[in-house]
Amino acid sequence: MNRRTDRHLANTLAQPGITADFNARDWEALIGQARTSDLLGQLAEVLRDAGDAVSVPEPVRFHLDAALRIAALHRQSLQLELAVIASALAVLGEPVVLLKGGAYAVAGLRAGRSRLFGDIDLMVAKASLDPAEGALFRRGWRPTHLNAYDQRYYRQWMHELPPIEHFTRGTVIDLHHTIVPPTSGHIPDPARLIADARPVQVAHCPDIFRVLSPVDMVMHSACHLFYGELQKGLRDLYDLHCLIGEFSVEEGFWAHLLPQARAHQLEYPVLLALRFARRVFGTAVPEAIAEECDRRLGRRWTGALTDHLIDASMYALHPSSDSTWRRARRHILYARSHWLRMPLHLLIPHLAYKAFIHDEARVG
Amino acid sequence: MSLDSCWTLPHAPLVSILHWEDGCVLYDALKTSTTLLSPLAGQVIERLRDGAADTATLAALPDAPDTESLAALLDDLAEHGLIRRKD
Amino acid sequence: MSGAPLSSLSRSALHDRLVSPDGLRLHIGRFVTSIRSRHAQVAEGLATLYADYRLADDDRFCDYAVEVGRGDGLRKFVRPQSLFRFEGMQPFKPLPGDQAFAMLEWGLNWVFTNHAQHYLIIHAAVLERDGQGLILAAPPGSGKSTLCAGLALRGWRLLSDELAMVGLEDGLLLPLPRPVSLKNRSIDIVRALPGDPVIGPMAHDTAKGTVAHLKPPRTSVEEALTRVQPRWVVLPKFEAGSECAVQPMGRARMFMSLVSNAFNYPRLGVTGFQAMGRLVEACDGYTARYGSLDQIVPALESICSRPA
Repeated sequence: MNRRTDRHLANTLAQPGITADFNARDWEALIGQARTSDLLGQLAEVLRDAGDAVSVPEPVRFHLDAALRIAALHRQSLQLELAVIASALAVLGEPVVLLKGGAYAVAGLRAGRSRLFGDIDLMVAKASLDPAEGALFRRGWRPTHLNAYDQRYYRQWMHELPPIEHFTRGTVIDLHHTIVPPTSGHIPDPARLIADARPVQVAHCPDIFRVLSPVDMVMHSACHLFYGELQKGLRDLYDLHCLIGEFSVEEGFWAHLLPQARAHQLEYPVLLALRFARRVFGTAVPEAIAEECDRRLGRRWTGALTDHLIDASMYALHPSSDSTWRRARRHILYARSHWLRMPLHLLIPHLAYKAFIHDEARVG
Repeated sequence: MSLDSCWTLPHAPLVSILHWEDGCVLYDALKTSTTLLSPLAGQVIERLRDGAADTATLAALPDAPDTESLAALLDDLAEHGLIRRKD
Repeated sequence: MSGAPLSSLSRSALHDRLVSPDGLRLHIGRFVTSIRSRHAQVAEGLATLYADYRLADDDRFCDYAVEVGRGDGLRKFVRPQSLFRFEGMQPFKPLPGDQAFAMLEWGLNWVFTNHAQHYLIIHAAVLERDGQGLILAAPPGSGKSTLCAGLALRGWRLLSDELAMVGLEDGLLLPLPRPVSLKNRSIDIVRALPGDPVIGPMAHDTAKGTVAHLKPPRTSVEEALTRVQPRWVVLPKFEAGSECAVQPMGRARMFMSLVSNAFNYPRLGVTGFQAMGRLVEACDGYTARYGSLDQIVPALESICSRPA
């Protein structure tokens, strides 16, 4: 009676009602998968929203509650951090676009609810990168990559500067000038992304922050997922599921999504995102768009192979869903985030503590 | 040091303070710092929370010392970024 | 906590559970922890020190699943290591195989501190008498664990020798009784105390020298769900040859001393500041310098018997 638990997380996020017949082992698998996928906060939100429709055992509730508490603290410190950043960058006199987790949170999007993230990602026009970095240096941020080669590599080949870290608080900012590395061969138009971005209000902040337009946000999220290392595959795909679900009621969203992605030369990741969000979370996609997805992806000879690889990465990395988990060295965000760092040397001085921040080991 | 220097508490809504006999503890949410202060320094901070005040006003606080010691205290607090001289 | 105690298992039954997929499932304080290991030393340590802990029922949700592995490939036979795993993560670099039980204890510390978001967590020993809590907060090397062991063996209820967990809402101390970690000379000092101390496996040559653990008194384990009102904060400081000097400490100073020993204070923001403020309000604070357990134990018991 070994029933499958390997898809519990994705299935519960999509349909919390399936937990109705969960036993203790099912809940253990669910919570474990959510922890290692950095989705525990999001799971807690989904189960809370479901209200009386699901009944969560008391010991399980403790962990969901813990995740909500962490997320609330995380959100608090994000807001304080943004206040400092805004007062530093107001001198630029131009908009600063918040990307990814920070954007989802301040825009009040479902994808941002109780979602943890490590770095604050900001995008400014390329010409403003150096002044922006300088302004942040004056407020206590410092380069993390000090060697000249790293510095040159980032500045020449990447879509962002080397991360900078606050010397007392440890918060990390990634300054971007576009949304995908130039080396990827795709050339989105940053000026247009910034021009299309929407203003967003952040408490205690001068009015400088923007978030990408819905279509661009989905596009960026898809790029991040499929041009990244798929480490947080399920989490990133869940972001897309939430974004698409929330934006699909916006006028013109579906009409513009694929054409605009094409205009920025980023259609492929968007097509993949739609296909996999449907497959894993059952995300609602209009029939015509779904057909177009299949048609266009189907023509690529690499289609089947890509599907297989991506499919595999969408499983949560956890003993209950990953047969090679023993070799998987996963670093759960809440345990390594500099925002939540704890001085454990007091307790465990004897152990060489792994460097959680920059030692993001791979699975396998 | 003139009596009409004016002092403020930066980002006052984000500052919390607790008072005890042997001193005060101040928490600055923006800097995420916790600082131990003398009872008098705590009084000064508490007064500035109600709004800016000049040195003469602060000299009228119940436990205020002579003007010279008070001025030294205010400079010290300003140097540590806990209060700010208003221009 | 209705299950039978671990001592009801035969050694072979204990071994079977430790190597089974579900692991050995024990109630530790309010949490159920599943432990898996093929290290004989882990089985020995558990049988000795966790004998009074209850086995969890099969249908109880397990909060944390941990494993102390032996390493990959041939290594596990030739020169086994101690590898701590939680949810597939390895938070620490491996230790030598003969430190397996210490690794389990340190790993559990990490697991509990990283997941208890409902509490302000201070590096301190916590004991209870007459329903009131004593917090011994001090950095390593202050003799805190030895003192904690001494009090526990005299009938104080042990809540923890490492973690004071202060509820963010109710301000009460959550018990999480575990074996008391002792090192070097203090192992022999505690072994010689009255009260039938039971000491578990020794780990030699750790970064802290020799480490061993004292079995927590049975009543401490059985009353682990009863929370405690904090009442006293003491900062002990052992100095060889010193006279005993116990002195009251102001609350502002107590606050700052506790902050420097609090794990998650920075992460809790203003919530942590307020919780610490309430804790300090609820407690009388003392510093205590001492040269031997014989001096300090009666001195503390005298302070703690004064009416509130």
